[in-house]
Order: sequence, then structure tokens, then C-alpha cells
Amino acid sequence: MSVGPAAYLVLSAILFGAGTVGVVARRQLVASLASLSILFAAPLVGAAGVSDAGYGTLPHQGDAIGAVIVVSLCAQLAVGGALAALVYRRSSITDSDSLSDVDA
Amino acid sequence: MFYVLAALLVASALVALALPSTRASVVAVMVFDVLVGVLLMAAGSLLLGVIALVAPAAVLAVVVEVLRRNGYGDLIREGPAFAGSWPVVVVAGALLTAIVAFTANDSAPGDHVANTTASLLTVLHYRTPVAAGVALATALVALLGAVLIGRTGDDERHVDATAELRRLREDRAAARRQNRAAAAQARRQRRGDA
Repeated sequence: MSVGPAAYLVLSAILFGAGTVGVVARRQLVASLASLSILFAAPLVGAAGVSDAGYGTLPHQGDAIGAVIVVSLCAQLAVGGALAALVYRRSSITDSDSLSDVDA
Repeated sequence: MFYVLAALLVASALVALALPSTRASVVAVMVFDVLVGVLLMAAGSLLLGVIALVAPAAVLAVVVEVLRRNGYGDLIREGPAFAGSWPVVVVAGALLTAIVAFTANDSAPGDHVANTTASLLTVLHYRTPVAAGVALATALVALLGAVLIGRTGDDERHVDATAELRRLREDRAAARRQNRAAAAQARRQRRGDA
């Protein structure tokens, strides 16, 4: 695709904003966790766009960063799911607003 | 092609945010993940695109399925969708998007340089082996961490079983008390009748 990195970065910014809203505004823990996927996709799209344009000191350096981002996203989904299960098991809480009521 | 994919990406992200149902939101995010993979492949990052197309959606599906099968169905049931302060968050998100988008437009001139032929595997293996190592270590630690955090330990099973026994004992005691009280009342009534 022959669009420059600016288009990718603008798309990345939109996804970052949408992901942030999703993580903060959604109440259900799993929905909030899923919104993190959108947040993580933002740097991925940006890195791929910059990599596509040949920027950076190394060829496809953005792809290497993107690979780490994808692995980090999968890691946070797995650990986040486990944490949601742990919170539910200990306190029967399914929404993030109620987390502030949990005694430490 | 880019603009079509970008529009689809933004639309699926907005749908995922706007849907009140957790399940529907998760499905929309999985569609979003697949679209991100397609965009990356179209941008020339073939292997990264395939990984991004498969891995996050698959992990999300596995997490939801594991939660559903292990008695955590309440976590993916319908519930209150948005926090009370969602209008503030939406305005803050829009401002953040505008700032980052304008900064991106300023910093990136937009000229397109010819793509190189180096593949992701070559870069990871020869140029950035540390990044590959960090990614591998992250995946392993996350897997172990998720299992350790999410599993139910022997002590927890013991505590749950003890609590269940105590609850049953208390239920039986309450039923006995009710029966005794009913019997005593019936005796009093019989005496009163006599």
C-alpha cells in the first residue's frame, strides 16, 4: 500500500484513543480486558507503518517491535483473564467500579 | 485498500466500545484483531500480519472459553456496560486522539520509501535477538503466571469445602430450630384446645 507513515500514525492515534476510552469506560472486567486489544493495536499499526516506509536504522525494525507488542498483548490477555477469575473467585465482583469496595 | 481497512478497523473498534453486551464486545474485538492482521499483511509485514491475525483473537477466545467452562460465566454475562463517568472519558479520549494524531501528522512527512526484503524472522534472528528473547520470555512468564494466578490451589479447595460443610450444617440447624418451634407451637395449641 502506497500511503505514507503519517496515515498509519493517524490511524494509530485513533485506535489509541478508542482503546483508552474502552479500558476506562467499560465496567465489565472482560470487556475492559478486550478493549486492551484495541489499545495494543495502536503501536502495532504505527510500528508497521513506519517499518513499511523504511524508517529506522534497521530494515523491518518496526516488525520486530510489532512482534514484541503482539506477544505482550497475548500475555496481558492471559494474565488479565486469570486476574479477573481470581477477583471473581475471592469477591464475586464482575465489574471494575466495584473493585474499590474490596477490602485489601 | 489502506483507507478501506482503516475505516473497517475504526468501525469495529467503535462497535466493540459501544456494544453493551460483553460477549458481543469480545466478538467485535476478535474481528478487530483479524482486521489488524490483514492491515499488517497488506502493509508488507506478512509474517507479523499472520501472527497478529491469529494470536490475539485466539488467546482472547481461549480466555473467554476457559472462564466460561470453569464456573466464571458471570464474568461474561450481561451487566452494566459503562462506568458512570463515561462522558468525561469519551471527551478525554477524543482530545487524546486529536493531540496524538496532529503530532503524528507533524512528525511524519508521509513520503514512502521502498520496502526492504528482510523478513521478520531474519530481523529477529540476526538483528534483534534480544527482542526475540524478551518476547519468548514474556510469553513463557505470562503463561506460567496466568496458570499460577488462575488455578484453584489445594488450600482454596479445602477452604471452599469447609465453608460448604459449615453452610450445610447451619442450614440443617436452622431447619431443626424451625421444626422444634413449629412442634412447640402445635403442642401449645393442643393444650389450649384441651
